[in-house]
Amino acid sequence: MDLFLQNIVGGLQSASMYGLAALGLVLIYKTTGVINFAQGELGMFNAFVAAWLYANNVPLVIAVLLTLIIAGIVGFLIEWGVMRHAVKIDPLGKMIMTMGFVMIAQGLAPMFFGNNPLYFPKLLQGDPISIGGVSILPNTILIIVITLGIMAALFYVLQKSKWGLAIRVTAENIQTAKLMGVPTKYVSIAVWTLGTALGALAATMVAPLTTVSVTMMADIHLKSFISAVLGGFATFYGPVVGAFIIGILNNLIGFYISSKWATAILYVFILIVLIFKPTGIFGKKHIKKV
Amino acid sequence: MSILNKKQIQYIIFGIIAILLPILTQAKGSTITLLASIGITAIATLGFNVLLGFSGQISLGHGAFMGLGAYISAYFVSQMELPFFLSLALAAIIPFLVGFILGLIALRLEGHYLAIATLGFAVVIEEIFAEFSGFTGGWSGTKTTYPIIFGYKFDKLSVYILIIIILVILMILTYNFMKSATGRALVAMKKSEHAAQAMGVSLFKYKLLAFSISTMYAGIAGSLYIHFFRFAEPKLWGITLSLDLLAAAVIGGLGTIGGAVVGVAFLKVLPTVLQMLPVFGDFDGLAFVLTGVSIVVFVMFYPRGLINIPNDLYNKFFKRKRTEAEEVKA
Amino acid sequence: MMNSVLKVENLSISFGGLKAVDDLSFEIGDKMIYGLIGPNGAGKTTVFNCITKFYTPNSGKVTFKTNTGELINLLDHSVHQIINYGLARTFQNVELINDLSIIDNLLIGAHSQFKTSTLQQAFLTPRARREEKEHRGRAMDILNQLGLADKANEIAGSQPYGVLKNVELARTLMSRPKLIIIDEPAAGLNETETEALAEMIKKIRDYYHCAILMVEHDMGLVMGTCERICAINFGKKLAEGTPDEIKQNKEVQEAYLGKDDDDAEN
Repeated sequence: MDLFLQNIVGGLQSASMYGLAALGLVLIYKTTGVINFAQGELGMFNAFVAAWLYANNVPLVIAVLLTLIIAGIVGFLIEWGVMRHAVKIDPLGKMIMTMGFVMIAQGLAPMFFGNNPLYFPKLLQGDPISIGGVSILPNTILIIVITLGIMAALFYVLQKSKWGLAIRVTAENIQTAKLMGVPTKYVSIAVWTLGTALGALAATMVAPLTTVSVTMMADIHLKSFISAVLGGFATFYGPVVGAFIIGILNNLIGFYISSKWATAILYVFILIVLIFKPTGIFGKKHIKKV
Repeated sequence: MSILNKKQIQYIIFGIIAILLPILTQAKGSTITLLASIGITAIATLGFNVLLGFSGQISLGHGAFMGLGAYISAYFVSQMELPFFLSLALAAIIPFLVGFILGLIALRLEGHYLAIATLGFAVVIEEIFAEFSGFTGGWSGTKTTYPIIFGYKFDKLSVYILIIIILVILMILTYNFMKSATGRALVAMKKSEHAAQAMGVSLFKYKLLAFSISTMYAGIAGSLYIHFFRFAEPKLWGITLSLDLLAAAVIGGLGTIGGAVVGVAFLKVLPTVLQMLPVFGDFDGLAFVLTGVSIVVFVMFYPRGLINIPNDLYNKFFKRKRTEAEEVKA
Repeated sequence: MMNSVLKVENLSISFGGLKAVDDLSFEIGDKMIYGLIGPNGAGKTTVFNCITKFYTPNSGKVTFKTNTGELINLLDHSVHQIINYGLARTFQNVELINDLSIIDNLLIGAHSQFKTSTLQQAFLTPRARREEKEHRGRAMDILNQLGLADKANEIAGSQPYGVLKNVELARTLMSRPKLIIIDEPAAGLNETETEALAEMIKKIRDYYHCAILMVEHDMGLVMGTCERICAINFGKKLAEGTPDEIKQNKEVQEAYLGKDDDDAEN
């Protein structure tokens, strides 16, 4: 039982990272119609920024905060400098453009930060604490708490604030939103800024567990997409719920079945979901106007 | 003149030039390697273009399908001692079937699911390549030989010639079906799903067809790769390779046959050129950045791609003059 | 044996609680030109989209007499199968493939008639060549009939709207239809073009022996060409009959009173 709980807690940690990344994905997708395939690699680039800042003696917490701000600026620049001017490009073209960003991020990282992986420490050092037979690293608790805090705040803003309403209306129907006077331009700037920052946050959380390298985000990137497919792209919370299921499943499969094949098994699992519940757990079928 | 206007003839002429070029110039081994690698990647890109340029779907798993073709081919030639052409056929058919099954699952829905499903396929199959060492040689890679056909042992140059011949055949076949009912159905589907459906085009069937055909081309390209380079390892076949194919298709010209070759040539020659320029030579990753920038720029400003530049320039400067002249006459 | 080519019975569909089509029934005779009219938002296009399976109705039955005389319920088939049975349609906003030539656009209309496989087409087998030639010939015949032959090799995107509307009509003929459904053929056309269109619609019926069902706002066109008309409002049938009967009908007059007929339905 303790082992089981131990795995659940470990799963919650991965779930936090997948969830943050997936939320970034779905925020951008629902409001702008763009599937941002560069989410992971932008996170990777920003993790390099964080590691570089840290290596240059910027205090850890400041380095993370600075990184989030820089990530936000990167997201802002992508929207303001590029995506905004691509309004006439169809969703497929925009998706291809984000794949261009993947290559740019993968090329720029070694140009700025060299070819060697960088080190980035855990936010909280310290030995595992034992809670009811389950030993947890303080850093794990911090990751889960930060994630839950951010999600709570974001969903509160989405549901209760004027800005949240603007985002939800834009997500529902951008044409109607425009007609109703919602500043959709600012909405897309906001989601790109926020989405990229969320991806960067996930990246700084995973950085201590691997190293900061060009390939560090491959796993999170894929799992955040799988989470979004599982939860469905129709709601903001779907992908987050999906992320928690995937994160926990991933750990349980890794422990009880095979750690080597955990990703493969999860992938087959998600294909099965696609067969039986193609729009995801919280998906809705919408009728396209002819 | 009229026979030269036939695309099929143009492709054959291109093939003859591509074969004669290294022979007549007595090109170095490294030049042949570059040309062969362009030819191989062009085959995969041609397939990618059938998928993206004609049916409007994206795959991030085409690198993985190339890998699948490569390992299958190497396994059957080296381990099972099957003839080369039979292995090549298996390296085409098995990825076709795998693509078909993956497509059956991911293509029932509108939108982006194929891209995500193939992203997962790429990650998972890379692990499988690494773990199934009996089949792939694992992380240390697998080796095979130049092909032997009816006792004739190929060398570097003759494999290159074989690659170009297969490329030209595939270009012609692709052109043929793209100019017939299948191609029109795909184009209709990409431009207006409603019109296509109303005309009797099953979106699912044609997306599946385009995807399966394109994975088959990737398999063929993989087989030729391993029999030219005679070595393959798991990390070759990742997302990066798929993105290269995507970039080549976009930059060369979506929905065109020749664009696949032009796009690949551009991407393969770019790093070499950059290295020769002293200013840029030091930067690792610059070619990558430029490729990414090119993707964005072409999608935004010139989606017709490099292949259409001569034509568009011609139309811009000569056609207009002619119509002006005609107007004057009228 | 049914004398009509299409019989719609008790068709209903609602979107989010709103009934767009409500228990609608009507019947179209063989080779008849039939009009479906109604004020903006009456649900006319929705009816079309239900018949051609772009929408799936909540209830009802749509019986269609196929090319072979067999009776089928269209609602049991998927959207891309409808044309195989002899029912072709146009769209309100003209859905042609702009980058292709006009004759290629017509050939897309013949998609369901092509029997060779992709493989045969790739290798240009004699059968594939013959088939392509046959349908190209048919396309030229149709273009000739409709007076579009000189435009066969023009790129669709370069042509004016009026021509495109006719091309879209021509495209439906490629499938050898028993019934053509036309969505607002006169929208965006001027008066002369509309008159020419009326002639063309009659000609198509007489020459190709098919029934025509049209949704139209232009009362002149509907009253002048249709043999029977069904008027609907809020998804419900108001009246059905000959053009004269419809003109006299009180309810229809009321429904139209004060409405602007020229606005396109969205």
